[in-house]
Amino acid sequence: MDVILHLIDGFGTALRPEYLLFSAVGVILGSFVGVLPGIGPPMTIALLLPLTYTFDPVGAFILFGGIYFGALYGGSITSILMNIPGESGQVVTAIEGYPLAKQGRAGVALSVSLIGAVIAGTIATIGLSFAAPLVAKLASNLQATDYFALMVFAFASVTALVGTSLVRGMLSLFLGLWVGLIGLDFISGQERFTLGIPELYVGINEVLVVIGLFAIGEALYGAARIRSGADPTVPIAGRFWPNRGELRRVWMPWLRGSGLGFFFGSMPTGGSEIPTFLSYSVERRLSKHKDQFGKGAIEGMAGPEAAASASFSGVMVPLLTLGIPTSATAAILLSAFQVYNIQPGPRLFESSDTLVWPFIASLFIGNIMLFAINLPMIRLWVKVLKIPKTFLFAGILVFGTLGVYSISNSFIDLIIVYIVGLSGLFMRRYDFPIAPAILGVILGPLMETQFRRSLDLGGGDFSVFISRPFTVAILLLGVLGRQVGDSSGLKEGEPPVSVVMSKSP
Amino acid sequence: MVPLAVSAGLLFFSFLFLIEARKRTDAHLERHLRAEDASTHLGTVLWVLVVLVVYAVVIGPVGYLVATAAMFAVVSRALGSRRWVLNVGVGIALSAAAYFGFTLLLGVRLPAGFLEMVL
Repeated sequence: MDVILHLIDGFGTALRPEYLLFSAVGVILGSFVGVLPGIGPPMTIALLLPLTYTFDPVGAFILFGGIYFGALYGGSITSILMNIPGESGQVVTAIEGYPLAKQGRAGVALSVSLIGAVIAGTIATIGLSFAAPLVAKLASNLQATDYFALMVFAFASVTALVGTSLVRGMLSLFLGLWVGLIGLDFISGQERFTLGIPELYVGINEVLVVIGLFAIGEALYGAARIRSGADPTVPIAGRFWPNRGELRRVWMPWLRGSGLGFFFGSMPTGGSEIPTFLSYSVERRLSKHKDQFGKGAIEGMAGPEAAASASFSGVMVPLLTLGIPTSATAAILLSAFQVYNIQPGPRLFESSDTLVWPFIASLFIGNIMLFAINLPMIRLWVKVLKIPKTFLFAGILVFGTLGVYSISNSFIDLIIVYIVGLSGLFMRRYDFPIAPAILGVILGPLMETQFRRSLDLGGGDFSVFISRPFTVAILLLGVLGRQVGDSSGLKEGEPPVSVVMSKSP
Repeated sequence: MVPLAVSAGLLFFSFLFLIEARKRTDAHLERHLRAEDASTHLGTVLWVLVVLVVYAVVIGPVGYLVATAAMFAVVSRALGSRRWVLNVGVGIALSAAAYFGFTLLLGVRLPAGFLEMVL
């Protein structure tokens, strides 16, 4: 029972007072920023990333864990009370949660969502603790070609599953890959797309792209729509705790959602879109109250909420063991790992288990913190929703700029981040998915490295990619993934966030 | 090799998108764009961008505190908040919190500008 020993060890570190404080601060910051309308978990982490540069890695990642769970729950509050989901995994929460709130059951919706998130987060973190070491052990047999194939697969699935158009998804992905190439090629020393500007030789820092696309892009987009009127907020009314009848309706969806979320989150397809929509359709099929779906069915919110929370811990499996991010949030976490010169992968569990296990332990603690902190503070978060939008967007610009400027006090960095932000605005306007671009920037350079290693292995011969069955299988899956995504019936529920978002004004 | 592949992919999908856009086959995008046109004003964005570029230029010489407070106030005005006193007040509070929070608590270096003597 190695795992248990490691976990106890991890708890020993994560329970140190300063780390407990980090976790609590993370949950509070995450909830606060996540509650702001339209700000999802990836943007919250992007905005708060520069805060952690002065911390030690363990502290920083404990803070991230707290921020993530906080941001997820903050986003649920906004989805339920304002019908504005922060990311595609929360669309379902808005579909069922907002009608519930309008019926005067906002309190119950919020508590069901919170309890479900905590239960699912805990179950999925248990899953992570046991699955990750196993996967890491399997992964130590993988070669460069396999990694290359897995990365292609991750690109394909994220691009195919997010958004409504494959063409726009691919364009977004290739834009990201292209930005990832800018700079000096670190092996041959050739300049790539630098236009002769010396500041670009080192490449474009991933943090600039992340903050630009999410924070600045969102603020500019918000600025464009600001004159279209305010979104109504439903006040919290009625009782807060679910009654016995409601509990009976939601406990199974919680458990099913947890299972679906962890399972699909830990697959290389990743992300929270598939598990949440799958959980929604499962609950609709199983429910005795089918007629309530779309009009405030509490089980239709409880399941997907649990799935979203569980999928976060699931996504940690490929991220920690293979170094492959399968969602925008995971990609940002990977870039944070790189800031600390930590390369996730099978060796992470051998070389720096003083980092991994405290981090996993802190996910457990973060879940409990989420419950303990948000229960008394929920009424405060509702007040945050009332911040005028003008100040909200101006504030995002201030903190987005601060995050970039604090890296190296550079004028060029600021100009780059504003250009990226402007691209983010147009991507939102023309309905391009953001996640593939983020993944391209962060994972692209790693994929090139694996590609080169593969060719080295094969002595420069491309047949190296078809010499191993595993590589071929994964590559084929990546190519065929699109068809699978189409036929799985997910499209039936009209996933696109933008549809729901554009209904809200 | 990789740059070539990426450029080729970029061109290929740009071309596909161009064809798609010319033929107007994507009903979802059409709907999305009509909603966008109805609810967005890109003029506002232009103003905000001008302010941001000016901000990037002056932040070094003028200093973080003053430049940020001014940026916040002007952007708020561009977004439609007409109460100047409130805009400036919130701007000063926010930039002071950010400046002192980052420099004193987190040890990040930010330009003090002409307030260097005082701070």
